[in-house]
Amino acid sequence: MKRVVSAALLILLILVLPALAQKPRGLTLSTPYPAQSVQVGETVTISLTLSNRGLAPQIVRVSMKEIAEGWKASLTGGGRPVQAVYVDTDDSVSLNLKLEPPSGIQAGAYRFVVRAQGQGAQSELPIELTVEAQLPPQLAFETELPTRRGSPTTTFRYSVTLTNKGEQETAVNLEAEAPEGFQVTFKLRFGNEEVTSLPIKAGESKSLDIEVRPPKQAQAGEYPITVRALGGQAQALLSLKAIITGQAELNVTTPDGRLSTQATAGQENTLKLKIENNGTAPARDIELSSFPPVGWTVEFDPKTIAEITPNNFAEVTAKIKPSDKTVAGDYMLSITARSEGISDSAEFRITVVTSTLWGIVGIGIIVIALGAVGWAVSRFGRR
Amino acid sequence: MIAKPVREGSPWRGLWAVVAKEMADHLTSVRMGILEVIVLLTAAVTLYMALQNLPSGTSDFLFLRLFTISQDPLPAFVGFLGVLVPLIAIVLGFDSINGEFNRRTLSRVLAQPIYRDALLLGKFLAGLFTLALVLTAIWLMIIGLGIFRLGVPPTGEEVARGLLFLLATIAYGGIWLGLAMVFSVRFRQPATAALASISVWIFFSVFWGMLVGLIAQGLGRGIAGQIQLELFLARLSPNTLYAESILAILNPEVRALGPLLLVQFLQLQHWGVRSPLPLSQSLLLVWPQLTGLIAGTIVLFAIGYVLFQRQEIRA
Repeated sequence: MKRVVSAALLILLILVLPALAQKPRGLTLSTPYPAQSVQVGETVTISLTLSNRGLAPQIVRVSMKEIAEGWKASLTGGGRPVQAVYVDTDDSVSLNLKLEPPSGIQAGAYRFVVRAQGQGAQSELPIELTVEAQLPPQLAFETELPTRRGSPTTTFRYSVTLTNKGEQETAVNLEAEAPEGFQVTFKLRFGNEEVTSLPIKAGESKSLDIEVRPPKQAQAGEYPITVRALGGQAQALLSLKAIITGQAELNVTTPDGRLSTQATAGQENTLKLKIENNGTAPARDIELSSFPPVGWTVEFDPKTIAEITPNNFAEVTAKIKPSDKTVAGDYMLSITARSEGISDSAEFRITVVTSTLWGIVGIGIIVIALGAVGWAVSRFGRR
Repeated sequence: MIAKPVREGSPWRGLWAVVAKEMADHLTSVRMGILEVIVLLTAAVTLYMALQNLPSGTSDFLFLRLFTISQDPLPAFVGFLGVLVPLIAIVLGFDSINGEFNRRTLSRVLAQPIYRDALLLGKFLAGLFTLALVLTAIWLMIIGLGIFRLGVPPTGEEVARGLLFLLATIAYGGIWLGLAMVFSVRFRQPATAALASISVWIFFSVFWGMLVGLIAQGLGRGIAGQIQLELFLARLSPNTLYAESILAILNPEVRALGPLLLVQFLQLQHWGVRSPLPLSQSLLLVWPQLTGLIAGTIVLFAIGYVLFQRQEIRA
């Protein structure tokens, strides 16, 4: 019987021992995902579990055995950084491992090792992070016609396409650099609202109209305009060009700006005129003409002006001769300067005064009448 | 040939004594009193009407409008003056010489060291001054009441135009005074002189216009010739001269008197700007009329003078 018992015990041992031997005893540090892929610049938090299997309850010190260069690692439990953990027999404690990458991190694999050191038992957990290089957001600005031509009063309109070639939706700010006085506005095509920023989904493109209004006094020449789209770290530049061809602009006035003068009927009266070119291109072959009342003659000296450069003027003398029978009072006289399709006219108010000759004749008549009285006094005077 | 006797002293000696005496007579006489009341009433009524009818919103030449605004059936103040001024002038002059003669005071006056020249001119000037005094008083009254009612003072140009208007009116009165004195020298009966003066006045104010039209139709060549002849004849009448003068003086916007040439019409129509003429241009416009009135007064005085000098006054 004893044999049987010992044999049975032996069998039991044989059967049981392996089972006992296979159940690990000791400390285990574990995490469900010990190898992860992360984005550039991403901070990773990994949850760790420290288990005590079959050992006496004890205090276990936790620390980082290995940290990839430049990274910051911290172990936290209960919201605080911890250095040691108390683990009961057959119990486990959760910890968090926070891994902060250094700025300017390169893509690649980074290795960390966490170590738990108990009384006579220890455990190590290697963690591998693969930092993946990500495609940066990318913007592209395109236009078919980057150069436009026009006069200072033209609105230069450029059709551009803005494409987000990145993999993320990006809010794009639009900016423009233009010479002083130029106004640049962005509009969505077929829309009237001005936009300064717009979201563009990954891979999508937007059609924009860029309107450039030059200042009126802009001189003839080429003006570069740089348009910039900024979205996150991405930016796109587009160089546009506005070519302003000058335009002459005539203005008829007088040296003192008064558009009125006095003229004596039947006599030649001079009126000094000032023909200004307020435009941006020289005016050539300027002809002067007038629309005088019937019977008046208006002559100009000189009759034509060869050229007036921008922001310059020429002086012309107008000789106005109202007909001698003109009734006194105010008349309107229109004077026009015309040059190659442009013209300007000014209305002059001419106050006609009549000659005082007849006034003198009238006084003469009174003098004659008085003379007659004087003669009568001397002829018929009585003693 | 007998040498012409030479006069001793100035022919105008005693002139101012005559003027003073005559003016005193005029101003204290009952007939002047009656005329003054009539003129005063006229002025008050027409001024009242003008102030009632003053167009609102116009600020230009308000004071000149006081003289020219009328309301039916009453004519404007200037219209009344056209009638009243000849009347006053005739009343002042029709018996100036023949009255003295009939009262047999002429020889007595001339027995004083006063020449006939001084007597006639003195009487003429006294009449003119009296007329001027009455008209100036009324003018001042109208301007004063105008300031009182309108609350604004007249501008310098308005005052100048008003004074010119006064001058033209006095010159117009001078013509009728001169005419009345000619008749008072010519006719021994004051009634005849008065009747003759009033006849001339009625002739010019009523019949001359028609007559001028008839003559112009008969003698003028072509329409333009007719119009010109008509205008020329019409301007022989002092009434026309006076009416044209005050029209241009009191309405600064009047730019021409009489018919216009076609060219002038076109110029005004298409290029002209409606604006008041400056005073100098208005004055130049009516200068012929004004000088005509003044010269006519002087000429009528000269005629009366010659007649008087050649008259036998001892009776």
